Amino acid sequence: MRVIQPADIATITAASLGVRGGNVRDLLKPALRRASYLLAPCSASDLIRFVAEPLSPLGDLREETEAELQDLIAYGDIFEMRRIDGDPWDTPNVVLRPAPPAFVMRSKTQAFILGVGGDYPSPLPAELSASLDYAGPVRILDCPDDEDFAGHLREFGLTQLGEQAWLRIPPVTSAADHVADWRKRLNAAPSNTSAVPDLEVIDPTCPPSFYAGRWRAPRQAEAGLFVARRPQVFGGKLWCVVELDAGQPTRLLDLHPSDVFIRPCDQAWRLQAALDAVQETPQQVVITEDAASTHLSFGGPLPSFAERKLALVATKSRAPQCLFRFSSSTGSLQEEIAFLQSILWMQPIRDGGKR
Amino acid sequence: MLGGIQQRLQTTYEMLAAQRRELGYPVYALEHGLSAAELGEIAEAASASIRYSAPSLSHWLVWTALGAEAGYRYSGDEYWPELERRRGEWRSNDYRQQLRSFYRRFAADFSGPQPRGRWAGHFNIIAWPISGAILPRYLQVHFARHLFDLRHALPHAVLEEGDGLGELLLRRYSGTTSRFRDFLQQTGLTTQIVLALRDEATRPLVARIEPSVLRRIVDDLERTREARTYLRDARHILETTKVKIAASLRSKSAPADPTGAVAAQSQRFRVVAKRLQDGTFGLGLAFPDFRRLGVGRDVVAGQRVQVVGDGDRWQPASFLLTFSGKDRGIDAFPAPNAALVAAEGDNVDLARLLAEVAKIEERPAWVLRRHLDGSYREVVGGFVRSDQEYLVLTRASPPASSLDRVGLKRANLNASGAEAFVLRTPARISDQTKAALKELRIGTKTDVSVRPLGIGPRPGNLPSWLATETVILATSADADIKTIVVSLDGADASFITCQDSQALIALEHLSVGRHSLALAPISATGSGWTTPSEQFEFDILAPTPWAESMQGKSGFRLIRTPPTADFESVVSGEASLVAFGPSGRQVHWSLVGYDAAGHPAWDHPLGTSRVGETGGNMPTMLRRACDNYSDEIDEAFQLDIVAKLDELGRQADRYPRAVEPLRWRYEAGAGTVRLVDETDHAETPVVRLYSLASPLDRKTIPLEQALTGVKPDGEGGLFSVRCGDTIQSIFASAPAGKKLRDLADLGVQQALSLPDHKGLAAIRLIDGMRRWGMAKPVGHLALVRRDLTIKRMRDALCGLCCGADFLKILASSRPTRFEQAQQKVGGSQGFGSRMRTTAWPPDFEDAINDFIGYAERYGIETDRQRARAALILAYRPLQLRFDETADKKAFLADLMGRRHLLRGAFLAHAVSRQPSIALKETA
Repeated sequence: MRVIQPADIATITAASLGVRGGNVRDLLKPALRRASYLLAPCSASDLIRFVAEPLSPLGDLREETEAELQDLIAYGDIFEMRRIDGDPWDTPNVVLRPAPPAFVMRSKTQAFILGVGGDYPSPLPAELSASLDYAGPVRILDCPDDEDFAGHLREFGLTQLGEQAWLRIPPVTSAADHVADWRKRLNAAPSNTSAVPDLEVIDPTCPPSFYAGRWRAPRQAEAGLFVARRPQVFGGKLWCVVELDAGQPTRLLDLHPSDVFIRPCDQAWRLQAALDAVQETPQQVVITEDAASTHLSFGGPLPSFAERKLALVATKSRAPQCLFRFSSSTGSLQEEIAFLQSILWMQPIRDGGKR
Repeated sequence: MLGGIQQRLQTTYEMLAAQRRELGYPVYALEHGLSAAELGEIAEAASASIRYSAPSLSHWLVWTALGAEAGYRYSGDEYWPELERRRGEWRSNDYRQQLRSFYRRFAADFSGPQPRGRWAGHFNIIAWPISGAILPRYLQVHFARHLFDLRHALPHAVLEEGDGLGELLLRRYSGTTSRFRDFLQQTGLTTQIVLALRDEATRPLVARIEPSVLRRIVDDLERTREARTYLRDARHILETTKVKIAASLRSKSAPADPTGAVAAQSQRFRVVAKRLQDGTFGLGLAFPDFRRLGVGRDVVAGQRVQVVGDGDRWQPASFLLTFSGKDRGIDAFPAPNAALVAAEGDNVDLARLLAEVAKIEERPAWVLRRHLDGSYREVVGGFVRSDQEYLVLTRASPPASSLDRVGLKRANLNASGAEAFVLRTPARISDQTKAALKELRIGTKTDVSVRPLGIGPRPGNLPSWLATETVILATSADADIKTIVVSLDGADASFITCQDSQALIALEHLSVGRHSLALAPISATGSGWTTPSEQFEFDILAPTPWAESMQGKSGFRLIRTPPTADFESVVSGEASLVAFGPSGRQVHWSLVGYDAAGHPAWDHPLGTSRVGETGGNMPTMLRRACDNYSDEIDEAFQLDIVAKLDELGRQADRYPRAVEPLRWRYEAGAGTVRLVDETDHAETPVVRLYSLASPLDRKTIPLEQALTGVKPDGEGGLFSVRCGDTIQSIFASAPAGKKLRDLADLGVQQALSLPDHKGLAAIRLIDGMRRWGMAKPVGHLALVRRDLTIKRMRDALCGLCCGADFLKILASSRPTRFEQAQQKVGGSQGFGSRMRTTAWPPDFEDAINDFIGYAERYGIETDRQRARAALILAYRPLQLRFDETADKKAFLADLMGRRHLLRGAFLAHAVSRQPSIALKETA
């Protein structure tokens, strides 16, 4: 037993969570993995509170915790899914659960390590756990000297996920067809006559390069199909697709997690990409090259399948003048740019404005 | 030569025994000190020495050393071939009891290990040399993996005296490899191995295991990367954690629940609540830990309980164990003093216990505190503290003025019978608020409070952390204090200076178990340490291997119904295996077989199904696999039905097969059947053969022939061996000798020879069905041929009971067969009509009362026992018992004469099987 100071909390907690160093932000993902195992099935708000509250002497970490949770869901460490038969009585309709330990090969000697190791910070033995790279949104294990790397990971009980099974890339379609498909689904929804309080929509007239600035309340004369969010009594805002007429929602379709783990936000972001493309203001990917690397910069969030696809060859990081970027030192990312063009109808822009 | 070696071994073992005697360490036969080259020569000479006579007593240590070497090489399947230099040398000789006597002498002279547990009882010869081998090669990966899984529990377990470490290894093994479980029962041996591994680097003066032998084991173990990694990780934790514990202030053992609060929390039902998605509060009951209250499987067996909220529904009392320590939702707040669980049955103790614990304490208000996981749990004593959130439940609404003064906000409760209010207490509770709470009969506790920081504790009635986690606690007080006095587990108190009346404490390297932190404030005005004003109880747990703890956590799991069903029941469809998960997702199934060492030997895909499919095609998939891979399935020491669902992972439903000392092996290539005999030969096994052509006629086979291998005559035969109470049988089916012309009989011509005495004939047929039903089918079309043979016996029994003409009608596929059969029942038209028109249930127990009633009403049979026996013969002939009947032959002969009764019974059974043809299935 020893007396400690508030500043020691991060270092001590890091050791309990198997994390090197004492950076508070680095604690959040391991703490969320642990919490998902302890509380599952649980709501996102319970999970965030369980992690953020004991760390409160280090500051209010709820927003950061939520952002890290979104990364864990996007890459497949934690599943967002509907409740299933046999769940406890107090289980909400949408729940989070820890993914079982698994891996996806990134190259012959490099793998993404996914999932939760129960009571242990990592499902791997200490020797391999020590080599885990926690820097990006997903853990990477690099074993350059191991000729049968995948075989050894399987021996340790991890499930190997095929690249396609992990990516879950939707079928290629034109932006117009994608919008038409959603319009059809929305038309099948019952018509809405009541007001939807605090509804907010993505402004189609705002430039797509500043995502946060696109959200606003519907305007009076506005009509058409919009990606929207609306508050609910408890929990985060609900993603939805809405048809407005004179600024009033006439039809509304709430988006829920599917059993194949397509997040509501993924559906919404892809629809918005299609809407932007149809309006001839497609979302953009800015390509910059320097001596060492090629960078792809984005002004708005990407659906998880796109993030995963890019993560296979590039590294995600924060960068100035964009929301985030993916960088690769090994290739020109031509295939990935073509992928973004075909699946999210994005427009590539060379740094300096050249298309 | 052997004499010289004997002397050398005597010296070696004596020296080891002398060194270890004081420390109580055993000596192992594997520590013989002989080189590999020497062992080869010695084995050759020893083999020659037993060609014409039994192993010599003057070479007994030679044989113990050779036996241990064979045990070390042993693969987990057959021991004797490992000891043999010439094929069959030990399998067919009669010297095994002598070998055991050598090991008993070794145990007495040198403190050698003595086998324990099921293994020692079942394999009471080979258990001795294998124990002398310390850690046989085939168990080494399992052992390394198990140490790795328990690595964080080991450092604490090594502090325990005696075989505590080995007992931990046994207790915490959740795998299904029976050989490894048997090995873990040798707790003394496993304790010594772990301690020897721990001590290896420190080179103690007296080693628990000879360093060269330990190195040999470790080198063999580290040949595979997997085992090497596991062992190194486990050893690292074992070595480093030992130092940490020694260097730090080790906590004294925790007092047993000093305040009684823990007992109160865990020993009765408590009210829980959870805020639901729509903003309302759902109510539930937290079940006490019935296991801690002494309720085990034996107590609940045969008992039924009725749980509040379930209406009139009774369910098996095992429900109490299923929900032990868990929460269950309720729609209505229990009425005052209502029994939450009522017991039916004759167990007075269970009824008394439930009367005591299965109720909620009646009070003016129930206070539920919000925990970190979002749940609200009843506070025993009904008090509140500062800076917390509560849900307060009352039966009647308190006066509005009280609500305002306390700050209670009405909440919507998703259950009837109570009112709910949310209360958020301030950092300091004022005297006015205390007084207002008191009016509502809610107490307040001030002074010191404790809050976890860093990582939240595991949810539950008592907070808990892992032994690998550091517990950080913030202590605070709702008065000005400058010092807090703290004592962990009754150790000397520490005085901690507070900042802003708060202090942070870190508790590291705590031993697994319950701990108690006593706290008392010393106010700013100054006072001494009196008695603790707060007692914070918590548990420290050892981590569980993730493969175990993550089972079903991702929302994908397999459920077998009934849980104890065997593989064959799942194949036949009598038991079900259903995948639960996100509905509609595709599940990929496969069947995995394991070898004797517990390693996967093969993996065959079975097919796919969708989550949520009821009924499903599992039996079809398994039956197809049984047809295609019958030999491999038969040979497997364990079968896993594995389901994979992409990113949701893999779930395995395991079917271990216990290895018996007497067992049959089918050698598919040669088409032969061989008996493996690892018994002690206290009784000579008797081997019999029943050919497929004449399945009721037996022939005795010489034991020696069975041990070396026999090929069945013709198209197959059933081999049965009996030794004492043990019977093992196998049906080996050979490829058809001629081209199949008729799929109905699969080319098998069979003769069922029966005695003239009808009672005896019935007994013979029933015994035959039982024998063939128990036999493990192996080889070409074995399952089909076995079932066909049983069906023929079943038909013969029907013919015997009802006559050939009646059997012919029932077995026909004519749509009018039941009407025709009804005409033939005889005795009473009404009886025949009832037999045909009653909706007979498929289950015998559900049909018996109606059948007896009709037999009585229509004057067919007034003796209930006889009527019952007739229906058993038709429904489940193998369950026919004669306990109350002196002469079963006479009883059956008499029954055979009551044709109306029997025809009625067989017609009822045929109707119960409708629309399938009656008599298709056996008992």
